[in-house]
Amino acid sequence: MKNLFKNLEDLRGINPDPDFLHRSKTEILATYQTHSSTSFRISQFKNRLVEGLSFAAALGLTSLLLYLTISGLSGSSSTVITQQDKTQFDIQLRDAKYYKEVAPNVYVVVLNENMEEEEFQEELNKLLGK
Amino acid sequence: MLDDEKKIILRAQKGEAECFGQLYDHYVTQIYRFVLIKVSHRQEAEDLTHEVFLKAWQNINNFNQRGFPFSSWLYRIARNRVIDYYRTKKEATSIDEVGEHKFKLAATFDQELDQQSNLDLVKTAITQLNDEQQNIIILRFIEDLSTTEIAQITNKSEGAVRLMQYRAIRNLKNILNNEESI
Repeated sequence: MKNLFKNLEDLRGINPDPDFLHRSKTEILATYQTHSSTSFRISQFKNRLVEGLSFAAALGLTSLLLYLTISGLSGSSSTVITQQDKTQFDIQLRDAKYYKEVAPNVYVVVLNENMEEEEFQEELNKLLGK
Repeated sequence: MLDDEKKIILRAQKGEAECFGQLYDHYVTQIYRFVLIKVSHRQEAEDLTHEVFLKAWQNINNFNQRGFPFSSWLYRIARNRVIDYYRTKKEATSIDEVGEHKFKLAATFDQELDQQSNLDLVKTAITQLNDEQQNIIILRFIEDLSTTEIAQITNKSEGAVRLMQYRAIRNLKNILNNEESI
């Protein structure tokens, strides 16, 4: 199977039966619509409320981060830096162990993270036989 | 995407059936194709597609336009419906019957479509992938959706979608190579 891409594209030729489409659409549109203008308004209100709350939460989180950053800067920075270095070293050791264990899959991860979109696409095209 | 889709959706949300009809006409083929490739049976794909749009019509008020595209919402409903379908099917069918039944379904589907043997091979190979990889292959390479859209449908990051895309193609190719060598 050399041109996998073409075979996949050809599957776009699958179409539903026109009789089925007509029957299905007529049945669906004849179904009693449970929503009314009131429930529509309720749903719109609900959506706006969720959006409002999300915005408030984002604002709160930003303020908290800002506060922590500012208060952190005024504290003892050298202790924090030493602790951070140690943590980073521990994380690197753990990463090294992890990558050793999952070496067969690392190629794909490296492909994804270090390649530009074009290069990744090229690699994919090779597999697809494009 | 339909011209003026936002307005059409808004009118459908207010209960205008004609507007939902426009959405139905625009998206039904791609949803049907998605379902058919996953269930390999025309009749069942028609029933499931019908249920997807019925559910969409009954719950259209829950669709939030600012979140993600309407097509993504439909694909999500379709994906969940197919999962339910297989869950129910598993409970209703004994393990011994599955292989034979699946073979029969695939054979019927093949006869109906009357396509090249390569297409049949690809179609059958897709059904051997896991659910996530099937979704990626259908959405990315058959429906030609962008990585961003697929990420929205599958609820994953774009990076994860790219990885899955690569793995799905690699696995599909392995399955096809094995089939050819038999």
